[in-house]
Amino acid sequence: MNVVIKPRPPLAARVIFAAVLAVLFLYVIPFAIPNYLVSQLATVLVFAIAIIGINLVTGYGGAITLGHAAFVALGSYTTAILVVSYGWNPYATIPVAAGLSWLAGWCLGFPALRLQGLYLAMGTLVLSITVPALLKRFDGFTGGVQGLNVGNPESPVKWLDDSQWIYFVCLAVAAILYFVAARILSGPLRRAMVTARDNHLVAAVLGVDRAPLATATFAMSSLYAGVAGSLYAMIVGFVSPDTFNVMLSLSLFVGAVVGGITSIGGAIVGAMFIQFVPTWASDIDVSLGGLVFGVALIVTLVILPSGIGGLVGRLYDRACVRLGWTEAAQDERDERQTAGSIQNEPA
Amino acid sequence: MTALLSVRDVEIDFGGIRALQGISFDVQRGEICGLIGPNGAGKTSLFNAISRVYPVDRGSIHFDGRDITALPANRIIALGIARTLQNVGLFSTLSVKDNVLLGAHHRVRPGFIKAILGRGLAGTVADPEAEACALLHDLGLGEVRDHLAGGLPFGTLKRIELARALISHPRFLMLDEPANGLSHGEVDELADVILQVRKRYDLTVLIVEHHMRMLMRISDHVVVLENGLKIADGAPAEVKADAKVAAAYLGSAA
Ligand SMILES: Nc1ncnc2c1ncn2[C@@H]1O[C@H](COP(=O)(O)OP(=O)(O)OP(=O)(O)O)[C@@H](O)[C@H]1O
Ligand SMILES: [Mg+2]
Repeated sequence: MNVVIKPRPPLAARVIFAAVLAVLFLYVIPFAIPNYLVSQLATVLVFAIAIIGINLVTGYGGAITLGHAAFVALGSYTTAILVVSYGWNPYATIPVAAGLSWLAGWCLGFPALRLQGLYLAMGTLVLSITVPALLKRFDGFTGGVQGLNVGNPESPVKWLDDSQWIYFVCLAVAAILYFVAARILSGPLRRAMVTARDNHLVAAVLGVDRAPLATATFAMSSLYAGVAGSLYAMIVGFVSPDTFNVMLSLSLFVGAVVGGITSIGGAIVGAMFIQFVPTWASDIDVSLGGLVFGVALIVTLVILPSGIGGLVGRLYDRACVRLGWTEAAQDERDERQTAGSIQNEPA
Repeated sequence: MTALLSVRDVEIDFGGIRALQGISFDVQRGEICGLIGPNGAGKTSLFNAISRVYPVDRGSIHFDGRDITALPANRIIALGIARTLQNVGLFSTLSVKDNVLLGAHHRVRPGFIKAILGRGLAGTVADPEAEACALLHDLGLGEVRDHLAGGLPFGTLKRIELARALISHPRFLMLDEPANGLSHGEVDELADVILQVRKRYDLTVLIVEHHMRMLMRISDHVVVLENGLKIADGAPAEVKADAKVAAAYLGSAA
């Protein structure tokens, strides 16, 4: 079937869906599961934010980046340094981390654009190899190998403990950034990104200027990574150079692929994957932990190239068709009223 | 008044293959100029030179009196030059309507801040959705509007590309083999559509077509290329009678 399905579930279905999500994220996760899992799920939200950044730059920008840990590190250290050395309120550091990583992404994106495909992957890989070393080298600033003790922000509310509180902070930020990404990936900007990604000749003919678009995409994706880093520093309460190694870059990328490289909703699935699966696998056998990433990456690329997010999207579309929840018929009627006709015009 | 498009001594080399060798011709305002020639004559290369996709090694191209020889390709559409591609440049993962709306990219000028803040705050130009729907309807494509472009018949794709070119509000329209993939009846219909859109939108048209009957019918003026050289340029009747043109076509067994 080639028809574009525009699912339009009835209001009741949408309300029920929203209610289920609300109960899950606002009640079940923070209040009904064991406490140690709450902060792990806060970490999942943080990974999801970083993965949405990869969705933007790789899924829609078409550029493979293996350097996202560098921007996560920038966000984390911005927060850590401002809190530890300058006594800032941790929440006030989030916008600073966002701004700095946006700027860094813009500056790096500029030359990075000239690196196509594999070269960009290599360049960003080198970036994430360099970052831990740099952090150790400038130890006056970063605390070197010892890292910096940020401390966990205390819950200002009586009925939430610290991990529940930071979970809600992460949830709020993740929700905002999810809707920002959804807006970026709708309408004319999404089309322009697809054009620039899929056909350079047509992009040029249609007046799409690829260079600034790609730079802006890279910068925006770095902003996501930076915010993720800032929140990560608060969850863990501690930053150290080796957290932000190549493995983090790789796992974020694998998470993006497993969740669906063009699916920002799938980011949460990818984030769950990288948070839980390697740990479970290591429990079975230590060497399995690392292997799981490679296997997941290959299996996804071979049997499910659009990832779990893409699969769920397709099933959802199909269900909507079966239930008659689409809006195509409605549009067809509107169109007949608005359209004039060349054919009927006197020659 | 000067010609709308003026091509002078244009040369393009592809490491040994001289795709265009000193091509000069004018397209007057409001006319339909046909461009013909055997396979590999350089017709598409000439399109690519005008839309600045290929670098021009020598010569100049003026549009509406302005030298566009050194402009980057992505600035061309805003001047009012729109084109379709010989082998279609649509996106199979986008709907037909979205493909058409891409033609309005340079009018909408989307960006991150506009996308995030939305219309009200950033003063964004709205997507010309109604215009896209009307154009699709006019070109007989209303039914496939919400289909993905991938998998549609080639003739339909060529029409979708025409709609995408038209939504850019061009003054000058370049069509590269628009009748490719159409049946005989559809070819005549397309010829009428081209005549009608020219009139309706006040267009000047440059059209490459192997369908000789259709081309001769709608063109005011025909330019013939062979192996990168211009071998004839004149009214359709003159060109048809030209011995060199006949030889070129017989020689290539077209
Ligand atoms: N990008 C390119 N690189 C190398 N050679 C090219 C390129 N584009 C075109 N050519 C060569 O230039 C010559 C003219 O090709 P062009 O596509 O312009 O012909 P055409 O008249 O459009 O032919 P057709 O009727 O088959 O579409 C051919 O010999 C072709 O091989
Ligand atoms: Mg051609």
